[in-house]
Amino acid sequence: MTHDHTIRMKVNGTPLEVRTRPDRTLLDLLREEIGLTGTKKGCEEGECGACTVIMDGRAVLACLTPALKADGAEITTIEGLEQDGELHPLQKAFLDEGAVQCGYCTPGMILSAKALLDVNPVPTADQIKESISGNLCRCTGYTKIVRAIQRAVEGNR
Amino acid sequence: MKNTHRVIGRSVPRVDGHGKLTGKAIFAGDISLPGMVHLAACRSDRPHARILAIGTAEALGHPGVVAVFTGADIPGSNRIGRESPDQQVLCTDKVRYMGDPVALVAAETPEAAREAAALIAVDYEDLPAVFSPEEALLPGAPRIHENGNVLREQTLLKGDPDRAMKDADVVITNTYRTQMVEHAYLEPEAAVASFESDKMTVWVPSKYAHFDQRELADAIGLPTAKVRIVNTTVGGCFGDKTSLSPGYYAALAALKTGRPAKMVYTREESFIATRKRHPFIIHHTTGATRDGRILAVKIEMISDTGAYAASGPTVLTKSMIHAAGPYDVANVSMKVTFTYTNNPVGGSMRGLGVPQVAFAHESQIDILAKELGMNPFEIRKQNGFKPGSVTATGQRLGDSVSLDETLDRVRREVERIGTPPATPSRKYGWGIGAMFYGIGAGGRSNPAIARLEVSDGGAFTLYVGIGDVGQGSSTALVQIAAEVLRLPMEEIGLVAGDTDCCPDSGVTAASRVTYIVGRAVQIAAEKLKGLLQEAAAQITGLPAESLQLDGGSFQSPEDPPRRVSLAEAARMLRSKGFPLSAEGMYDPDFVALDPRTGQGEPMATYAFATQAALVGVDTGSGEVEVLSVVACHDVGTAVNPDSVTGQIEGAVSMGLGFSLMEEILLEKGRIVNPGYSGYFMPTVLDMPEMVSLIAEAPEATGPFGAKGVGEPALIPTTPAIINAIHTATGVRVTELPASPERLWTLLQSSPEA
Repeated sequence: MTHDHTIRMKVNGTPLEVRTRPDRTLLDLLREEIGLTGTKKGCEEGECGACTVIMDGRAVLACLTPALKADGAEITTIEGLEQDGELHPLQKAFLDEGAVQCGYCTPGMILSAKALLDVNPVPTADQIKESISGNLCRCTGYTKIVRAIQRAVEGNR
Repeated sequence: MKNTHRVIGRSVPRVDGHGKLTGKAIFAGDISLPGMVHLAACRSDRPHARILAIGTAEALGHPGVVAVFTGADIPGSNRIGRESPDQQVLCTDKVRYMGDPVALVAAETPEAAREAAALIAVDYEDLPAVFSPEEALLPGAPRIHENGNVLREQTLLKGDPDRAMKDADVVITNTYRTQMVEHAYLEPEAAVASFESDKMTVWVPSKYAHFDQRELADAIGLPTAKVRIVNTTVGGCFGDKTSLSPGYYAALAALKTGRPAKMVYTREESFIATRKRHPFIIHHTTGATRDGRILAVKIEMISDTGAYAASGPTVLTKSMIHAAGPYDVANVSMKVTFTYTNNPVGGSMRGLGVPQVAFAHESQIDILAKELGMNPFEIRKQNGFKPGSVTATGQRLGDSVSLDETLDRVRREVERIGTPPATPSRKYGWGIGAMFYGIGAGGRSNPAIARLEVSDGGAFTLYVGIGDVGQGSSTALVQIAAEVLRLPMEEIGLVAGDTDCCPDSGVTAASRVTYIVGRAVQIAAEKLKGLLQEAAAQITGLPAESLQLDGGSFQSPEDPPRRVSLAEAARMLRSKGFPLSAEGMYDPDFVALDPRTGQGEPMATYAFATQAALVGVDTGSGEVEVLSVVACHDVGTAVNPDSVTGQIEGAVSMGLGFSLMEEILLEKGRIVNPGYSGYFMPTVLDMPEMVSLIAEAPEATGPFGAKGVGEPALIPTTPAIINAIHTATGVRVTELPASPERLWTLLQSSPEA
C-alpha cells in the first residue's frame, strides 16, 4: 500500500522523475520532494487557492490533487514564470500595480490568472474576476490584483 | 504644496515585491533543515477543566515519535502574556479554553506528530464554564482566574453628561453587539528552530521579534542573549502573530531533542489556537439639540476577552479613547468592562476595539441625523473634529486634522456616482461612516530605534527590528532613508527583524510603523548624513552647511562644483575613528490617561477618514451587495500612495466581511466553523467598485509629515455599510454581522420594507 511510486512529469519545462508515497498530494510533492516552495499551503481543503498551479493547461488546486494524478503531466509553478531574469508580464503587472502585499496568495493568484490568459488572452473584467474567485486574499481587497491582470491583458491586445 | 521629494509621495514598487512574485520569498513553512523533527500540539477539548494527569505512553510508542513534552519538561517560567503573564506555553494545572495547549509531540514527520498528539490521554476534571461576559459578571460565577473574572474596568468622565443630557432636545439610546472574528491571514502560523553552540535561532513570522526574543527566552528557560529571532516573510498578520507562536514550541523541542524542529499549524489549528477580535456589547446614549449639536454621550461597554488577558487591556483603552467618535462633545461618560470567559482568547486585531465602537457611534449619529431630518454629511461636519477640537479624553488636537476635507470629498464622489432606482425586489442606498484613530500605543511610551550604516565603499544598510507584515512598511522605511540621503532606493539595503543585528523598533501595531519607526529612520539618516557632511567639509575645507548632498556626493556651491562622494566621506569618517553608523530613536509625546476620569493625551497624532458605501439589498432574501465604496483618508503625507490605497482597499474588504458575513460561531466554547469552508470571507466577487482618495494634512512630528493608515482604513467601512442598509430599507441593524438571515428577519418586521 505504502510502496513508493515513481512519477514522471515535466515541471516548469524540466522533465523530472520523483518517487513518492501514493497518498501524497501534488502540493506536498512539489514543496517537499522537489523543493518548489513557491506554491503555498493555506488550508489543505481547497478553499483558499494559495496552492494553485497549472497542470496540463488548467489551473488546479495542488492540495486536492493526488500526486499520482500528476504522472505524465506538465506542471507550471510560480518558479517557472520568470524567464532569463525577465518577469512574466503578469508578475511585472502585479509589481507595477502594487497588487502584492503579504505575498502569500500571490503565486496562486498569478497562476489562476495565467491559466485564463493562456486560453483567453483578452478576457472581460468578469472573466478575470471569475478566474480568481477561488483565490482568497486577505490583504489587498483584490482591487489592484484585478487591475494588474487587466494591465497584463492590455499587453496582449 | 508641490512634491519636491524624490521618492516620498511616489508609488515606487515594493522592495520585497520581486521575491514574493517569483516564489523566492521565504516563509517559515518553506524552511527545511537537515534532521529536523516535526511538531504537533495536543490541545484541550474542554472549555474549563483541571488537568489531573497527562498520559503520554501511547503517543511515545507511536511509530516515528521522538519525544513528547508537557509543561513539566519546560525549564523556563512556562509563562507568557505581554500585558499580564497569565497564560502557559503548555498548561500544567488547568485549561481555560478549547485549544489551550497541553502537550507537544516531536516526530520524524508532521503526520506522525499529529497522529501521536491525538493519542495523548489527558485526564480532566471538568469545571463549570462561562461563555458570555454577562455570565462572567454574575455573583457566584465560576472563577476563570484566581483574581476573578474581571480583566479590567475603566471609566471616563468629561464635563457633566447627566446635566447636559437633561438639556438635550433629542436623546437616542441603543445597544450594539459585535461578533468574534478571525484574522484569517493566508499564511498559517509556522516556525523553525535550531539550537547550536548554545544559541537558539528561531525563524518565525512575527510582528515583534524583540518581544518574542525576551518572552520566549523567559518562558522556555534560556538567557535572552542566547535567543535569536529571525523574522521570516510574514504572510499577513492584522495584529496577530506574536507571543506563543509555534516558535516557542519549536525552540522547546530543539532545546530538548538537540535537533532542529519545525511546527506548522493547520488552518483548523490556526483558527482554534490563535487570538480573535473582541466581541463587544455597547450601550450608547447620545443627547443633542434640535439643530444637531451633540451635547452629551454616555457609553457603557462590556467585552469578552476570552480565557486570557493577551492584549485585552490595550483593546479596552483604545476602545474607550475612540468610543465617542470624531466629534467634539463637551460632556462624555464611559464605563468599559472586559471580562474573562472560557471562549477563545481576544487579542489584537486591526483597529483594537475601534471598528466595534465606530459601528456604534456612527450608527448613533446616523439615527440622529435621520431623526432631525439632517444631511448625514452635514451633521458630521457640524460636530466633527477640526484643528484645535477637544477629544473625549480631553486632548486638544493639533493642526493635522482633515476630517472636513474627507467628508467633502467623499460627498462629491457620492453625488457623482448617484443611487440606482429601486426595483420591487431590490433597494439601494448610500451610508457613511467617519472615524478618527490615534497613531501609536495609547497613553504609554512606545519608542522605536532604527540604525543606518554606511560601508567604506559608500553602501548603506538600514537596520530595523520589525519586518514587513505585508502592509509595505519595509518599502516606506527605505523610501524615507533614501529621501534623506537623496539616493535611489536600490542603493539602500535593508535588514529587518533579526534580533542579532537589528535594534528594537517596537511592535508592528497601532498603525505606528511609518509614523514612529519611520521617524526613527529619518532621524538616523539625518544624523549619518550630518556626520558624512562634516567629513566632506573637512575634505573640501568648506563650511559643512554650504555643501549640498545629491546623486551620491556632496557638492560645493561653486561652478563647476567640487564633489566629495559618500564613499570618500565615509572613509574620512573612518580615518578619524568615527563609527560609520547612526541610530535614530523616536517616542511620541503622550500624557497617560487618568485611571478614574480617562482624561489625558494618549496619542501624539490622529488619522481621520470618511467612507461611504452604496448597497443593493435584495428584500426577498436579505442579501446585501456592496456596489461602491468611496474612501477618503487623511494620512498626513502618503509616503507611497499605492501602498496607502492598497491598505484602504484591503481594509474595505475586511470591513465588508465584518459587516456582512464573518463570524466565529461558538457552541459552549467550541468553534463550530474553524476553517475557510465555514468561515466566510469576501472573495473578489464580493468587492465593490472602489474610489480611494488621500487627504494630506502633514503631521509636524511625522517623517515628511506622515501619520498612518493600516487600521484607520478598516474602521469606517462597517458603519458605512450598515447605515447604507438603513437608507435602502429603513431597517436598522444593531448586531453584526448583517447576514442574510438576520437582515431577512428584520425586514419581515419592518413596516417600511
